[in-house]
Amino acid sequence: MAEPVAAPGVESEVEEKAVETPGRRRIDLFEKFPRLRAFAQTRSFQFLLILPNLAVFYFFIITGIWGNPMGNQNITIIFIWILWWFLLIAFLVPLTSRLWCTMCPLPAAGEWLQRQAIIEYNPAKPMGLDKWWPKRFKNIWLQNFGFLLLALFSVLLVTRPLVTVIVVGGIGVLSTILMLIYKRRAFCVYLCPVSGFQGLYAMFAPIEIRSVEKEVCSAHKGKKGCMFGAKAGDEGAYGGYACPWFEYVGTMDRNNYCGLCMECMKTCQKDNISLFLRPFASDTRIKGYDEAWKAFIMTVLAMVYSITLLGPYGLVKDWANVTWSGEVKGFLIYAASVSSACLLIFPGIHLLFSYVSKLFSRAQELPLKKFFVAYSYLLVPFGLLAWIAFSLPLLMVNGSYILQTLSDPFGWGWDLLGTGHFPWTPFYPETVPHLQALILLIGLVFSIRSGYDVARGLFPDREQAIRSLLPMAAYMVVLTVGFLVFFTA
Amino acid sequence: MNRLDKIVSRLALPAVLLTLVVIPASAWWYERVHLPSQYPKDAKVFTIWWSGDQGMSLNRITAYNYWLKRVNQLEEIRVEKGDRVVLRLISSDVYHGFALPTFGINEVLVKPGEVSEVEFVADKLGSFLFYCTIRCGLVHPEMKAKLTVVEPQVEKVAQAELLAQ
Repeated sequence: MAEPVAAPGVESEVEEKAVETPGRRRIDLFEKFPRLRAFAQTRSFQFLLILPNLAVFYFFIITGIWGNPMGNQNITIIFIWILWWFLLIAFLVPLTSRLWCTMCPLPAAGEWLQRQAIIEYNPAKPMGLDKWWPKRFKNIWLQNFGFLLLALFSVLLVTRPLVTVIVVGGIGVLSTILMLIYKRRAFCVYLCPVSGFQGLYAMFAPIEIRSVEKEVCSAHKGKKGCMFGAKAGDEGAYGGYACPWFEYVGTMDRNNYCGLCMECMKTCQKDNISLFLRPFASDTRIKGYDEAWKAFIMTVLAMVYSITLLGPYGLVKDWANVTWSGEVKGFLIYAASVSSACLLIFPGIHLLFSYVSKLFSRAQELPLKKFFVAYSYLLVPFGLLAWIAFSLPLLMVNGSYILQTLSDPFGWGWDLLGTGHFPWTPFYPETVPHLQALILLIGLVFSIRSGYDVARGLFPDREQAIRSLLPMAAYMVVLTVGFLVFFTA
Repeated sequence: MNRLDKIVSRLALPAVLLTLVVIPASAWWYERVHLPSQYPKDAKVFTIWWSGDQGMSLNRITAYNYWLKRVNQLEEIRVEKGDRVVLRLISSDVYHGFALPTFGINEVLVKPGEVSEVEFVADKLGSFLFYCTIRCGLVHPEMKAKLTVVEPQVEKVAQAELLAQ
C-alpha cells in the first residue's frame, strides 16, 4: 500500500526558501568511480559496513562491563570517547556527512527485525506496529534535550566504562524497540542524540546524495522508488526499501536528514541519484527553531566541555563529577547553569545580535525571526571547528592509551601486541593551544564566509547583505576570542 | 541480486551469530586457558585483584562490580609447605604496594593495568600476614590477608573434609 512520506523538519516553526549559492560546482563521484556506484547499489553495501562496527561495539560492551573500572585502562572509554569521537567529529562528519549513520551498528538489529531480512529486499509488511512517528515530535527537539541531558552527565559518561555501556547499550535497545513500533528509522531521525548533531554538522560536509536532475524526478509520474520502495526489476530498479530517513530525493536540498544508506540508489527507476562532491558548507539553510537551538546547544557545550574536561577549573570539575565528589548542590548549580546557557542565555545573545543585524540592514519588512534562524547557521561551521579544537587535545594528550588498551583491552594486564605497557606519552602537548587557535580561526573564516551566503539569501542587494552581516561577524569574532580564552587558559 | 549479494545474503546471519559468540569466547579462552598455561604446572597461581575502594579479592574487580556491589574480601590463601607460589597482583584503580615480610617481600608496586608477579617457595609453616603498603583508598586499612602454609598431609585432609561436607 502506498505510504506518504513525512519529511523531517516539516513541523519546524520557520520554513525558509532554499539559498542557492550562485555558480555552485559539484562533481558526480559515482560517474567518476563506477565501481563505487556499483558497490553502493548492492544490497550488501550497508551490511558490510555495519558488520565490523557491530563486532567492535559488541566487544566494547563486553569490555565495558567486565573490564577495568578505570576509564584509562579500559578500551571502551579510550576507543569510544577518544578515538571514535575524534574520528567522528574531525573526519567523518566534516568530510563524509553522515557516513557514520550508514555504518552505525546500534539500530541494525531493529532494522533487520523490522524488515525481517538482513540483506534481501522483503516487500512484506514490516514487523511490529508500523506506526507513523507522532506529528508533534517531527522535529529535533527531543534530540536536543536528549543530547543536553547526556552532556550534563558527560564527565561520568567519558570516564566510567559502565556508564558508557548503559548509554550505548540503551541506544541500541531503545532503537530496536522503537523500530518495532514506528516506521523505518524514526528513532534515528527524531530521537538519537548522536544523530542530531551529525545532521546539523553534515551541512558542512563536501559530499551529498542528490538527484542528478531534479526535472527527471518531477517528471516521473509513477510510484517513486525512493518514496515507496521498489521491487527488483521495477522499471529497472535494483530493488530496495522506501527511504528509511523519510526523505524524498527529488526535493532534498540539505544533508541534515540523509543517512547515506544508499537505499535510494537501489530504488530509483530513473537512475537519477548520485553522490556528489561539493564545496564545504554548501548547505546554508537552517529550517527552524529546533535546528537553531541544536546549533546553540552544541556551541555552548563545546565551551562547557573545554572547561570541565580540559580546563584548570577544579571547582566546576568537582560539580560536574557528582558521583565522585558527592557535591549534589554543586551539580545542581552546574546543571542549571549549563542548561540555561544552552537554552536561554546564548540564544538570547544571538537574538540581540540578530536584532542589531536587522537594524543595520534597515529592512523593517523582514521579521526578526528570519534573521534569528537564518544567522544561526553561522554557528554550524564555527561550532563544528570548535568541537574539533576541543577534541584534538583529547587525542594528542591521551592517544597513547590507544596503544596500551589495544594490547590490553580489559585492563587485566594482557599484552597482546607488545604495547600493553606503553607509557602515557602526550604527543606534542605544547602545540595544542596553537593548533586550537588555528582551528578556531578556520571556523571563524568559514562562518563569516557562509554568513555572506546566508545574508545574500536574505537580501539580493550586496550592500544591504554586508550591512546585515557586520554585527553577526562581530559576534562571531567575540565568540572566537571567548573560546581562545578558554582553550588557552 | 548480483553475485556479491547472493554470497553475503547467505553468510550474513551466520556471520552475525558467529560474531556474538566468537568475541566473548576468545576473551574467555585467552584469560582462562591460555594465560594460566604460561605458568609452570607445579606452581600454585593466585590472581589477587586490588582496589582502594573494594579491597583485595580473588574475585575479578570489574567495571560492573566496582560501582554496583562489593566484592568478597580476601581473607586467606592456603598452600602446602614446599609449594611454588605465584601471586598475580592486578590493581583495578590506583597504585598499591604488596608486602609479605616473612618471605622477604617488602614492597612490590601494584600498578593499574599491569600484572605484578611475586614468586616464592612456601618453605615456612604457619600463617603470615600480607598487606597493602600504600595508603590507597577508603578500605586501605582492611587490605590485609593471611598466607597459611600447612603440611601437605594436613591440607589434603582439610580438603577431603571440605569435600565430604
